[in-house]
Amino acid sequence: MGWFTALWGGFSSFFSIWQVCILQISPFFLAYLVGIRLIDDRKRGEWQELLSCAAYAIGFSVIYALLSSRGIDAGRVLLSHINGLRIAAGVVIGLISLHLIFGHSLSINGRLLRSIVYGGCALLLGLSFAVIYSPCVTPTYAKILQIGIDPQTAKQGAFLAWIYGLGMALSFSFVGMLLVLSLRYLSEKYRSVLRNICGAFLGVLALMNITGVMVYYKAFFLGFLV
Amino acid sequence: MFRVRYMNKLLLVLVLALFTAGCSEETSRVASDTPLEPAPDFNLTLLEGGDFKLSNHRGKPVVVNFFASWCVPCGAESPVLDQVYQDYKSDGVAFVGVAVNDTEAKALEFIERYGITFPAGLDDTGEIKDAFGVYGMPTTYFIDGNGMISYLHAGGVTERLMEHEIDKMLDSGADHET
Repeated sequence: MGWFTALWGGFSSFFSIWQVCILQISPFFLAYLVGIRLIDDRKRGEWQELLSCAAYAIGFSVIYALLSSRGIDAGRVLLSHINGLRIAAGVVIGLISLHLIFGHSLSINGRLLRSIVYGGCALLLGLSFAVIYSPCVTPTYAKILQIGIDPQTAKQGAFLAWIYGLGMALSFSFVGMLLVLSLRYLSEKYRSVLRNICGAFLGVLALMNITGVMVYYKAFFLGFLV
Repeated sequence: MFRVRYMNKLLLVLVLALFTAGCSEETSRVASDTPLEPAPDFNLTLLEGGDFKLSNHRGKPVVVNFFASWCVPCGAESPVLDQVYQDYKSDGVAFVGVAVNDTEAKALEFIERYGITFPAGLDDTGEIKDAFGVYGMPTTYFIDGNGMISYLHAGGVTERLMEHEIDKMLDSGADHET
C-alpha cells in the first residue's frame, strides 16, 4: 500500500459512512476550533486556527499510529494502559474546555506566546483524542493494521497508520476551517454564547471519559445512526 | 466555459471517489507470519446466561470476535460469522462474541437484529479487550487447540478467510493427534 492510498483512506472516511464512527471525536474537534476562534475576538487572520489544526494533526496521528501497530513495543504498552490513559485524556480535555470558557479573561500577549499556548493545547487535544477514540476498521485501515501486526513490517504499518491519521486530521481541519471562516458572519452578541457552548461541549466529553459514560454516548448516539 | 466544465468533472471524480471509499468491500488478506503467542485466558459472562471460559475449550479451535453495536463493519460481517459458525460447530469449533464499548441492552439488540446464534457477552470493564490489545473494531482472533493465537484479523471478515483460518487450525490439530 502506498502513502497516498493511506492518506486518502483517512481523509475520505470523514465524508463517508465511516463518519458514524468518527462522530466519537469529530464534533468535539470542531467545537474546539470554533471555540478558540471565539476566545480571542480581535480582528486577525486565521493563522492561530491553522496552527491548531497542524498541532492537532501531529498529536493525533502519532498516537493513532502507535496504537495501530501491535508489532511495535510502544504500541503494545499504550494499548495495555489504554483505560488509564482515557481517564488522563479526559482530564486534559476538561482543562482545555475550561480554557475555552475562561480563556478570554486571560490576556496572552505576543504572537509567540499565543502560538505556544494554542499550539500546545491543540497538540494535547490531538494526543487525547487518539486515546479516547475507538476506531471502526475501514477496508484501508484493515490493511494497515494487518501490516502493523507483524514485527517485521510493523514500522511500515506505523508509518501508514500515521499517514492515515494525518488524512483524518486533514479532513477535520478542512471542515473546521470552513466553520471558522463562516464565523465572520456571526453577530457579535452570539459570539461569547457560542464560545461557552463549545467549551461546555468539550467539558461533557471530558466528563464522559473520566466517568466511563462515553460507552453510553457510543452505544445510544452512534448506535442510533447505524 | 472550459473552467466550469473542468470543475464539474473534477467534482464528479471527487464524489465518485468518496462514494467508493465508503462502499468498498475489499478486506485484507495479508497472512501474518508472526510467531504464535498464547491467547490471554478470560471468563466472559454470556448475555443469554452462563459463562464462557477460554481455557475450558482447550483442544478445540476457538474464534473470538470483538464487536460493538454501533460499529458499522461489525453489522456487515455478522451474517458471515454466523454462517461459518453454523458450518463448523459440528467440528467442535467454538465461537464467542465479545461486545466492547457497549451496553448490555444495545449488544442484545445487535445480536437479535443480525440473528447471531453463537454465544456472546459484554466486556463491560474492557479487561478482555485490553488483554488482547484490541484497538479497532471488529477484530477477530483465531485461537488453536493449544490456546495459541493462530491468526488475528482486524476488520470485517470474509467467508473465505474464516474457512481458510479455521481449516488451518483443524488440520494442525489433526496433525498433532496423528
